[in-house]
Amino acid sequence: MNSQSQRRKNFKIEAFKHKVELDPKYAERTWKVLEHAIHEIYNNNASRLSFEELYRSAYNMVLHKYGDKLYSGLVATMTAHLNKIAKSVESAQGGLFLEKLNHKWADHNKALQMIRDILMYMDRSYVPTSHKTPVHELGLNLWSDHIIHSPNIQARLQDTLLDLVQRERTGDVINRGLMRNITKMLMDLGSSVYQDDFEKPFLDVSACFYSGESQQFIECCDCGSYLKKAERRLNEEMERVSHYLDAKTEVKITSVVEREMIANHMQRLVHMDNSGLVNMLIDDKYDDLSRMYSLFKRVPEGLSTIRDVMTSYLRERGRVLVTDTERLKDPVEFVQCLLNEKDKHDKIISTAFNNDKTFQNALNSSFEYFINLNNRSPEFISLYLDDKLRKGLKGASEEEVEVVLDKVMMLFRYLQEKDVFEKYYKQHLAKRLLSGKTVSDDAERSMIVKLKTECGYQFTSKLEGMFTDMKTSEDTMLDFYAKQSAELGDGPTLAVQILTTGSWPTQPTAACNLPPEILTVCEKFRTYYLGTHSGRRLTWQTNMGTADIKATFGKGHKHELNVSTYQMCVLMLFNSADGLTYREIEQATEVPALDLKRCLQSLACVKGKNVLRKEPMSKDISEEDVFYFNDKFTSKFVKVKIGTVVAQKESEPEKQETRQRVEEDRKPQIEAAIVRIMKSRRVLDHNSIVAEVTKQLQSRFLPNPVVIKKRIESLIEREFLERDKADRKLYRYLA
Amino acid sequence: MSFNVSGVTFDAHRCVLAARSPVFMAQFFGPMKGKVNQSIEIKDMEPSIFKSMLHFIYSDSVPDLEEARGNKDASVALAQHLLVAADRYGLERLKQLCEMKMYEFVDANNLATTLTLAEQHNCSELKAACIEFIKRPEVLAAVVQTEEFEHMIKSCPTILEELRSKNDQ
Repeated sequence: MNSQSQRRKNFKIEAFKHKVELDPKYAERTWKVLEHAIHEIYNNNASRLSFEELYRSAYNMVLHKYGDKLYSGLVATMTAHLNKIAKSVESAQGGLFLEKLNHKWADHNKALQMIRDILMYMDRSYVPTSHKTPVHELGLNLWSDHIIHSPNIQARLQDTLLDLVQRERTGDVINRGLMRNITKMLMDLGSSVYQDDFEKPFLDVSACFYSGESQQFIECCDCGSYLKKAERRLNEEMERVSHYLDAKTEVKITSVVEREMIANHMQRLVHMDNSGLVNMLIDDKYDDLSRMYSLFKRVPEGLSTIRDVMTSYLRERGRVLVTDTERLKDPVEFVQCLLNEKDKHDKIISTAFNNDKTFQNALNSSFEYFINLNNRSPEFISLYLDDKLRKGLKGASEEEVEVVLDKVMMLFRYLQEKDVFEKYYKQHLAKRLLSGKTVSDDAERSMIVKLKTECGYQFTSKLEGMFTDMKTSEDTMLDFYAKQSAELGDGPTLAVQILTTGSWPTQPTAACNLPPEILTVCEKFRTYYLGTHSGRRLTWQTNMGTADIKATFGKGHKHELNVSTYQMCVLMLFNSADGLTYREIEQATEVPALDLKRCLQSLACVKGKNVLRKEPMSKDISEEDVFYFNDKFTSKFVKVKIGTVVAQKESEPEKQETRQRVEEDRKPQIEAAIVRIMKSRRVLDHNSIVAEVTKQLQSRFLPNPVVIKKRIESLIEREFLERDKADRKLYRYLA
Repeated sequence: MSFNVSGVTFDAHRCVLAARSPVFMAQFFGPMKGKVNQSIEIKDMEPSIFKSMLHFIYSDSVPDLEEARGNKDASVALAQHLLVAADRYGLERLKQLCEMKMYEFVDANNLATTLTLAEQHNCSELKAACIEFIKRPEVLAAVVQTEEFEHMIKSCPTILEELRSKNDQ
């Protein structure tokens, strides 16, 4: 051994030996010390105890293998104290019961902590090896067994707690702090204690309560008030949880309320007479709707219930709108009505339904459904646009114009027969352009752009062609007058619009006899034009033109009349005759009968515009009538407009004609689609062709499967396709 | 505050002790702390051991254990005493250090004592290692002869059973 290290050591250390305790009374003595300490602790007399001594006593007991005795002694002592406490709690009167329990619980916790500290060594070394419950947990279990589950306390505790909740639900104020302590105690004793002794019965009782209350409310409340009440109760329960229940209870109690107050009465609420969903929609009750949305969102199938009822309401309402014969008399009103409905429901969805996309979709699908119930919808939408572009948007700012056009585009998107719309739009646009009656070129252009974005270049290329023609015609006229001014002299002024066939809507033309006064200048123009554009053919469209005529009536009254070309031809006849019969006029002008009758009607039978006088003075034109120049015509206007070529809702025969043309136009489109498909797929069965064709064309129109079949057969005849020899339903492409 | 260990006084800081030992924590800051005592009497412990334990509490090391390496017996003896102290005051790491030291120097002479201590103070690894060691017939023969062996049987009767059952394996 190193002498240096030995000097450093103060005392020698001997090999260790635990002493063996031979005194049989040792354990009992030591235990008594500890037992006494526990008593003192429970009697709130702990201040005089020495931790050091007690800890050492317990330590020694365990070390000397008396752990069993120590532990069982602990159990017995604690149990005895708890039984005393139980009696004390049981004896508490009425309202003091909970307070007493709470107070004793606090005491017990404090005592338990002290005991655990003293017996720490036992907890650490004896308890794990002998698989016993640690001291703290033991203390809680004993409390559960002897206090909470004591027969005289268990039921009383549950009843007291549930009774307090009930009182609070009916309006009383209760001691929330005390409640909180008690529920926290139950949670500390274990979540199964909390659930079995409180939470489950709480939920059951609540379900009963809300079942009854909801039944009561629904008998006497309207939908809006009921929902308010339900919302209030829901909030109340959440607040209750936050104040004195365990957080995990929240989702359980809210689902009870949701089930009893909302889910169980969903159908009845939604369909309630005079106050249900439909009434709320009609009356724009944003608050109520918003509440319904957020409440129903919480329950399964809630939102889909609202959505379904809304959808069927919209479809029905829409159906009524589009089949209302009164409304259909005014197309512009009709479309405005649809736009208003759309606006109204858009607002509802954004304000009350949180801009929910599924509701947007339901709205869109409903509109798509009923707009197409009326096959005049495409025509009417075009007429609406015509009205707006002709005068409705006069004075509107650029933004306002965009807003209106965008809204109309929304309706356009719903149309199944977009090709019908195209046809009408072309007609109406042509009339607008040719009569110069458009409110803003920019607005027209903007509309074209929108249609192009939506439907592609093909849709709008012809429309754009029309604008080009107008511009070119302007330039041509300037050039014509520049070059020919000398020759023309004092003749009537001609303004020609040269329309490229194909871009403009075709109308059957029957040329009428133009009056000699203008024939000259017309011919001069024809010569001039064909001189610079050889190889082209010009045809006067006499059914589309206008004329300004200076007329002198009796007493020297002069007026400037703005008339159609046909009307001009008729009127010029009266330069050489005072009176003419219908037949004479017909022969001279060669205007087609239907147009002539209309034309004469507007010249002779309209008050304020009757530049001609008719005998007899009946409303209708018959072939026996005689017409005279009306010397006595007066008007306060110097310029009188007679018979503008306004776009009108088509008459029945006209409508049939247009539809016919649309059907004709569809045939080549269907054929082109079939050929395209067969070229790439080579072999395909009938049903697949029909499906593919529909898919390809659906952005323009919905093809009729019967028509598709006919087109296939036509293509087979023309040897584009052939039928398969074995399977008649299969077709093959012939290169 | 100060400790009185068999007449020897040691000073220490409450907070440091409480931070390192759950027993001291309960004693000084738990509900049993009672009136603030300036001095506590410690029984059933050697002053030198208490000193080493304090040293460990403050510095997380036991230089005496290292120093005594020259003298194996002294080293083992120190480790044995410190183990008991560490167990009493819940100083887990000190306990482990002692276990390692005891295992390092285990031999036929000190095995019985080591095994006894391991059994009494819940040192399962050390106990298993000792039992492995004692299975060797030459070791067993030597151990049985020691005084400590008798003491072991008296204080921990169960060990004999375990030895017998392990030997049969």
